[in-house]
Amino acid sequence: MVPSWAFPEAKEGMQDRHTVLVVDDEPAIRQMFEDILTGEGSDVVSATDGRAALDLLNEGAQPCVILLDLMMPRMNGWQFAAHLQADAALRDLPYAIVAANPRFRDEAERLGASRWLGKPVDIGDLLETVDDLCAAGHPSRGSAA
Amino acid sequence: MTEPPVASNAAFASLDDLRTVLSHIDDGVTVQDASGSLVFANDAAARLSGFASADEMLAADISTLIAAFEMADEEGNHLALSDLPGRQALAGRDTPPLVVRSRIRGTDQERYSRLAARRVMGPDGRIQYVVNTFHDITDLKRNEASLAFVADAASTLATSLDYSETLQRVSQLAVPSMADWCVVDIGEPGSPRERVAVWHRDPEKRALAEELQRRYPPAPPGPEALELLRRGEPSVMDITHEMLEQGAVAAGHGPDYLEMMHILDPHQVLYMPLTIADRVIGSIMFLSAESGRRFGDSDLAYARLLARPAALAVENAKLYHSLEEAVRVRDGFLQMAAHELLTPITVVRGYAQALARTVARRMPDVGEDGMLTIEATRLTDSIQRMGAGTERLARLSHDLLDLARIQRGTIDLATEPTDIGAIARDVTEAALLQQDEGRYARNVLIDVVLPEELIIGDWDPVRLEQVFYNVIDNAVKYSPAGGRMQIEVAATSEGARISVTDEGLGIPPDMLDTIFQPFQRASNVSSEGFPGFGMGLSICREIVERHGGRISAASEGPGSGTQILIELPRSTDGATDHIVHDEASQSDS
Repeated sequence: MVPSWAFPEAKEGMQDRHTVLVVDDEPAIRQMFEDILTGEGSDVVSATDGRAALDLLNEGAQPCVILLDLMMPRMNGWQFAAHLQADAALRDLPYAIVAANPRFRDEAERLGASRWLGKPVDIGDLLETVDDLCAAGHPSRGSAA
Repeated sequence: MTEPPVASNAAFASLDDLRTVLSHIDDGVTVQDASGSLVFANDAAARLSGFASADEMLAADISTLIAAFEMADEEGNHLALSDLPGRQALAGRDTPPLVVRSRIRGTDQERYSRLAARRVMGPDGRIQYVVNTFHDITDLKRNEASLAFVADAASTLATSLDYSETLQRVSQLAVPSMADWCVVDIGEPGSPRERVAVWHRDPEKRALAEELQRRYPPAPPGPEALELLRRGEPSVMDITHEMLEQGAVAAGHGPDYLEMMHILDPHQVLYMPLTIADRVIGSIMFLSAESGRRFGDSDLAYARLLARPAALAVENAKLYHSLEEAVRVRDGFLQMAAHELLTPITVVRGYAQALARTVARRMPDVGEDGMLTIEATRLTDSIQRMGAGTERLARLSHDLLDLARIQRGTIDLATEPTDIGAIARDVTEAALLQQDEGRYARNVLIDVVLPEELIIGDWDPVRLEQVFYNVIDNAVKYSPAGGRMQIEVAATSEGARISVTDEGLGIPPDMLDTIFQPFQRASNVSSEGFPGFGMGLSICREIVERHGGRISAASEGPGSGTQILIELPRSTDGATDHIVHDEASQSDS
């Protein structure tokens, strides 16, 4: 476990707490994203694959951004992204693809991903991505639903 | 031809003496009168024609005689009776000797003979007799065919590394020149043997022989047979019905085994073990059946001649495939290892960065004396070193992943208008920064010579940055402390030329090319204990070549520095470009 002193409490005075959805089949990666993002004041929900992530969204989770791994069992990242595209209520939900292979960078753009984060993820880039996409008051599901 | 001398004829007292002499020669001799009737035949002629004796042959009428044979020339074209030299001679024509392939009708027993005919003229100047001689050249013809077979088979064996395919072709070549039926088994005694080839001259019997193989796979040899096999010497064995029956009982084969064997009806087998250094790796069986052929010494010699290249072909193919398999396993392992490493590296790097942020936020920036507090400095340094360590790990695992991608041909470029000078400047600055941070502890002076104008090309900036990083990192790493290195980027008519020159370790001349191959490092680099896996330059070469460019190394030798030269055309047109896009290629996401 991460020592409690490593992370500050949620930033005080922050209005409209936002939620980040982490989709990754690696427990250690999910845990790291949860720890770091929670420490920076986000709420985090996570799913082990695309199917579980869709279930969370259908159950009413309202993230302002999704951090999406590509290689996952059951439903991989590409398939999940295709589901988002096909669903009018989810189409505008921004997501960032987290992948090691730079050749997917262009493809991620074509598929409508808002960002591409190379593995291993730079935490500065990660937080900037979350800040940009969430603080910009991006039309999240709330407005679409 | 000169007339025979009269004096020598006088030595014979009678015609009987002459008959005795003729009956003792191996060549067949017959005499026809002017009407074409057979008036004399010696025993050899009778034997070659399928008769028990000369008397029986002389008693037979001409139509029986003719009906007994099918005749053809050497190429297999049908021959009529009138084509034979004897008939030609009776018609008053001299013809050269003719090679005749004859088969006793209703059998597969073929013989080759050289036929010649001479006229004997009477006192009236007309034809009195025609003397025919038959010289049996069957063995000669078989030797020719066998020799051709061995030569064809040996070159066939060299054509491919798929030994089951080549041995199948060899078995086809063996029939009918060496045998009526040929079977090749591969496998070491004691282990299950693989029957890789079965061929029979008769298509129906071929199907039967294949059926036999499916139902009754070869049994491993017993200890005595094994000892015989180990010697690598061919052996010939007669096959009798009794032997087949005993064998069937011993192996527990059903009655259909014997039924099939009786149809295939093998008479004799030439068994040739295939050995490599006393190790039996298989066998070739040549079987004689309907041709009634008997294997002789020359057949054993040909079998021996063939066994060596056949065994080597099988062994080479097996070695090659196990090598290929080993490389495949290695590449698969590398990819998996690199991918597995990436997760813990991501986690460590993530927490280190988060920690650095927290420290920066929580610790007082300056102490009372205006300096960073000792605790803060220590903590910040530690976190920074953690970060630098994970950076290196991350690069290594990315290099491993790239190598795996190169092997699978799935390194793709994302090209866009790119300023090569900017990349050179950025990477050099990063290298200087790393040097300042103590990465190399060398204090190398880095000169950068950039062109006045922008050099823009259709390039992949991320991949080219990787090339610059690798080449510059090598140059700094192998430079002496306080040495100089120069990075020069210049425009050319085609695009850009980049050279990175150092005063460092240098490269032995015989390794200037091999350093661009995966896992190859210059011998002096390894011996001086520089860390590394030999991945960077092979990745650089792949990236540069994907851009349609060239990368090379020049060095006066160990100790005299190195120059890496990269030529990049402005556009990747004409570069090898294979975009693979399937599920498998996404497996290293």
